[in-house]
Amino acid sequence: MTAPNYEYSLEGKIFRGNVPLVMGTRFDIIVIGEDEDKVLEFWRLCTEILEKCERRMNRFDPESEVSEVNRELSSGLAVTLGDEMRQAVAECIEFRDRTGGYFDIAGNPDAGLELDGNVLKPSVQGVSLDFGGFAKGFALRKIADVLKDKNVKNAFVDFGDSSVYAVGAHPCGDCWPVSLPSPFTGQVIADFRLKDNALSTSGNTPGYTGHIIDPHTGKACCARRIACVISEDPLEAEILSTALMVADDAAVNNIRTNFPDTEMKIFNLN
Amino acid sequence: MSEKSEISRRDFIRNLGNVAGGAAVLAYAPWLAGCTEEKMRDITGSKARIALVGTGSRGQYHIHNLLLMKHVEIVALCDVYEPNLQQAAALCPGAKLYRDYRELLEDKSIDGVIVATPLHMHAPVVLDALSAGKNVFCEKAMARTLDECKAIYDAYQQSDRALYFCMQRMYDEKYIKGIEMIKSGTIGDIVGMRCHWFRNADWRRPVPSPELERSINWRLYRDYSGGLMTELACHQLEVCNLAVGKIPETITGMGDIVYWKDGREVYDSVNVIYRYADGRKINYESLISNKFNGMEDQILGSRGTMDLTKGVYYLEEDNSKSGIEQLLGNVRDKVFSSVPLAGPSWRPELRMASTPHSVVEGNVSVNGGQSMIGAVNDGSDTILSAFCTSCITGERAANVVEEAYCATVLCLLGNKAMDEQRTIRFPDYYKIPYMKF
Repeated sequence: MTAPNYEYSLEGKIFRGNVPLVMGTRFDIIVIGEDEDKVLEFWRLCTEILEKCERRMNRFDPESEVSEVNRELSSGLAVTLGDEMRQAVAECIEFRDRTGGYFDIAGNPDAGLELDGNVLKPSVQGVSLDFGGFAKGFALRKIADVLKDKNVKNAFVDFGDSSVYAVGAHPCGDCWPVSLPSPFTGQVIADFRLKDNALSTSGNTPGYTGHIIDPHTGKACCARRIACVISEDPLEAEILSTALMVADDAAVNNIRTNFPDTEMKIFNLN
Repeated sequence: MSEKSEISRRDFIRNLGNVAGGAAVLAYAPWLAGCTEEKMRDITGSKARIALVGTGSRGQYHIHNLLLMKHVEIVALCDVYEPNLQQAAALCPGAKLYRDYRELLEDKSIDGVIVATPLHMHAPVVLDALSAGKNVFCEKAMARTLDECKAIYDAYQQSDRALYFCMQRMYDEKYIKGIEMIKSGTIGDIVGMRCHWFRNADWRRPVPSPELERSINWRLYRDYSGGLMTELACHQLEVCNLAVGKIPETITGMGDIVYWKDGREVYDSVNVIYRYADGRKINYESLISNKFNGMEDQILGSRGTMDLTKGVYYLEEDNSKSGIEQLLGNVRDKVFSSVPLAGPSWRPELRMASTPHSVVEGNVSVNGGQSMIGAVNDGSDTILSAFCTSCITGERAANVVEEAYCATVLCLLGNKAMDEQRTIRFPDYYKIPYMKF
């Protein structure tokens, strides 16, 4: 994680926080109408969450907690997890089951991950955890909790464009309006009016494709598809947008059935 | 100047070694040699005995800065306008008061003279002060006429005294660093420059009695002032020349009194194009009946744009603002409009260049260009401090006089091109060895 920076403008009480690089992307937040002391305390907590999540869930960092877990899991051994990691893995297992296995941090339907208290057991050797498609949503949910806890009225969080979270509204409107341009043509293909909810977007782009793996086939998804999910829970939005990228029609219907209150849009681009 | 800005000046001096990449800064900006921490240590305990000629708003601005400097003692004040002199005297109770600057110059104990008079008085006071053996700090522009500029430049060549003109951008950290980055290729080859200064104000000051109109509102009358060019453009043209390292060869432009038709003689709207020998141009515009565009000094490169006024640069491969920047701009501008922000994950290797990049770290003071007196942390205090150091050490600042000469001559040639409605070439007579075309 690179050094956070911020600016606060007394005129309009506009706070803008930024971390240029964290979890492989950029983090930005705009908070409107809050006193400087309050928003700086929020920003301290926010960056602490980002730092901890990255330290815990970055599988490319050999010192991270997930790397330690993966070293043991790959040998087929049961691993005792810390409380936070246990909570994260429990969420992953629940979402794995509710998405028909289209979201799977093990990326392997045979991994058979199960939790017994804080102990994580794999069914086979060679299992490793990948919190891509989870970690940003997990961090964003914690940040959303802090925003609520601090009673922040109007804020907009942009976690690398693919995960955004809106509290309240733009100072001149009744929501935070955002649009989705096609990564292939730049033309806007959808508009969203966010208010106290999150929008997560998954998809391939001309310069970055095949990064989402279908857990059932082990193959990379290269479709020109964009999946958008709007939910009050940033983590749910993050996970479902990832799952929808690789889910077939039946699986999409199954996911819609399992999450009846969640808005989902899939754009198949030509 | 607030205490905070005095701390900023000290920080600037302390950090000078880090500005523009360590020791390299002095090779590139040798005029800063008088600002180093070592230099400040060398003069510890010494005080420059300073006099001010001209104690109006800008003179008093300098007094406020000087009063915060440990190496300065203000010993004399001079003004022909009694109310200004008395206001300044109240700030400097021990200073001796003069109504004729020539009498002030006879005081041998004065080390340095700060000239903050109307422009038409710069040349007489500067030349007399140099003749009297004083070190001199004069407001920009250098002088009212081309011949006066030449006379000052020649006198400086004959003198061993320090002479400064308040080209404060040469002492402003974001400009120093920004120009160093331009020279190191950050924005590619310089292909053009756009500078503008917009205000919406008549530039007038209240006049207690009609016979004082011209001496108080001197900026509006041609015998006293070069108008927008000498008052505003001077700084901006100097920055362009520093960036390019050359001087424009031809000048054309149009000037008019568009809005403030109140008896003034100087233009309230100017558009001037300065063309370098290789075809690159400075597009200069100033208007004082609309402030929407504020003030900007933009250096346009083949790979990016440096906005020196704000201390940020943009790269060409990212010709659109990131979504969050657009959203922030919308919030600030009170625009409620959808921002194309959602999309597959932003990845640094694809769009690292998409946001404005800061030239210097930390908070940057940006001069919006609306003040007629001066902006906080714009380098004015630093160059003034450097002058006072020179008064103690006797050392002259490299390039400051030359840069002031080049910028002022270009301003005056801009006025000449507008007045004569033609394209003019830089006259050989006013060329100096420092200039490269």
